[in-house]
Amino acid sequence: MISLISIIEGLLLIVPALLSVAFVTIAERKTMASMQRRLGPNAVGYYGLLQAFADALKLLLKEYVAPTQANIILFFLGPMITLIFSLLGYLVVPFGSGLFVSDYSLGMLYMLAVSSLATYGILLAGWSANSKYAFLGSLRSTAQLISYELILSSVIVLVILLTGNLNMITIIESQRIVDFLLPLFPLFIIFFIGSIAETNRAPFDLAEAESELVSGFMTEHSASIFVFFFLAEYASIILICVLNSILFLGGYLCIIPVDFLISILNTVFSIDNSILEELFSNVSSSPLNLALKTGLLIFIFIWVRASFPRIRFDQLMSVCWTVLLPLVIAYVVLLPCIVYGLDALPTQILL
Amino acid sequence: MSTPLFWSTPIRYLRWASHEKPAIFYSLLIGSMGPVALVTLPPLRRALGDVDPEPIPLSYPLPKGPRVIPSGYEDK
Amino acid sequence: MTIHLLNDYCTNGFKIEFVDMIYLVSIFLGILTIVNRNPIVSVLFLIGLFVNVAGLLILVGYNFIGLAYILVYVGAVSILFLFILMLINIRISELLNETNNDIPLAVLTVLLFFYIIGQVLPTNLTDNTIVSTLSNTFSDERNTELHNDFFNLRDLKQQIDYASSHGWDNSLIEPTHIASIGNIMYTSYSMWLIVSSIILLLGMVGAIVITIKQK
Repeated sequence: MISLISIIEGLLLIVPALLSVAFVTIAERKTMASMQRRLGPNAVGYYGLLQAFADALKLLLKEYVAPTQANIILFFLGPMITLIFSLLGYLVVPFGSGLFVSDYSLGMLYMLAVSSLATYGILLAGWSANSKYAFLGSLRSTAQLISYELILSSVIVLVILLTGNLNMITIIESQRIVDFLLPLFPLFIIFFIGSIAETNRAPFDLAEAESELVSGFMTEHSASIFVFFFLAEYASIILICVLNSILFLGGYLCIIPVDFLISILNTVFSIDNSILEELFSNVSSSPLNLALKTGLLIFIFIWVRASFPRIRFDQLMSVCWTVLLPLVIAYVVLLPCIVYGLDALPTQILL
Repeated sequence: MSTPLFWSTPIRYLRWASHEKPAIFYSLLIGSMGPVALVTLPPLRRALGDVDPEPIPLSYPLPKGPRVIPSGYEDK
Repeated sequence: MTIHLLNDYCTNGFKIEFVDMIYLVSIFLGILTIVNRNPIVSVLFLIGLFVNVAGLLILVGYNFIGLAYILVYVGAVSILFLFILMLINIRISELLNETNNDIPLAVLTVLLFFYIIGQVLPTNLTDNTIVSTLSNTFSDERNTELHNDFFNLRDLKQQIDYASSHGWDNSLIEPTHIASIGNIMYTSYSMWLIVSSIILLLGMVGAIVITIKQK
């Protein structure tokens, strides 16, 4: 019975994650369409809402073609590795107060480790396809992911300096007073740029630059294994947006100071307390907060894609190593000094 | 005049660096603010009314009163 | 007590036999790493070995060390291995050398390793393994004990393991390994931290000096 419950827990996490991936793809297409003054998908379902399912069905029913000289095992293993490791990160995300699958004490470290493993899928898929385009795409993508992971993990170290714990729930709950967006705003910008690059999105999608590399590391992949790559890409976008909102925007905590508003309403208009308290308890740490913040960040991802032209690969790498990394290292020097000077080191109860 | 030298014209060099190498320049600026913050912030914090916490005791405190040495239980 | 054990087994997924399985799989992967001719496939098996060892560490309770293993060895070092192996063009014919000359050396190394390790390791670590149980079943002396006392003793030992490491009170206050390691490393053993960081700095400067171009 217990093992059945743990399976159901996993399904309850993965199925909504995949559904949200489906709707993020439609959201991207519709948003890009309205930014470019066209309609976008509008045939399947109301306003094209079911377009993603039609696409998935089409891709699943297509015949898959594997190159003759390809390393077949790795060719199929690569997309699976990418998808599995991009979905594994959802395990430690707390969606609301008390709504989590795993309250792991090293949640942040786990997420970093899992996201670094997803690189292997791309590397293997590009190499095993035995095509120059796919291989170049996967090498570019891997170099980019390794470089930008450095920046992401340095910024995460600075956030952990303020929380004193690697647990996701502790990171969120230590933002009850103020979101880390306020003290760490420059780091949020750097982290956001890094997360756009880490998910291989435009304007940093050099791995799949159509004008140079056809379709990058997934050039040879078709039909159902292409679906794996597609799902993995969007799942990692959602995951990294969730990570952004957990680290800087306060996760499932409410942005609006409901407590403050209610006390104003109570004192000024002398409104009955009980209904408002009910409202407060429902809004203050519901998953809807996390959903709103993540949705906003995903919209910014799409917005960025629709707005900026793609940059060159050497520019991408030099931005990482000579612009973002010195800035992050400067903050790594500055922030501990400030925290120590203000005597604001987080309390470790155990020590 | 091309790149100015730091030692002869420091202000001009700094202005040149902030225009030509902004990332390195501001990184050095932000990073060097760290030790400055380490020196300036504690007095500022005390001036604003914060009190230093008691130092963590590193050993067990000695009792104030006279020691009572139990007797009468020794082995013969 | 038994019901609690059942829950623990189902949710944690830990059983002492899993550790044996991981040992066997890692030995298998290690052999495959050496035997394979294609260097990239060989590195892939090496990565599998790393992941396996990290899983073993996490399974026996060293969460932080296991995750750091994945993060450092699998996430960074092996990716660079793969990266460079994919970039350089190795002719397979160069790798088809006769390597049988090295077999005595390999045997000698393994024997020496087991001789040293077997003396250092405490014996109770290897008490509950499949191999020891199998050898016990084949020997006649233990056969009489096996049906009554020995099994009970083993179960009891397992239960003691659970009671000591996975009890409910550990969920309330559990000083993580990362906190404990940091607490020791930044107080009592800070000298070694500084020494190792200087060695790391030397390595970095050395790499830069080697690759820099003289004008």
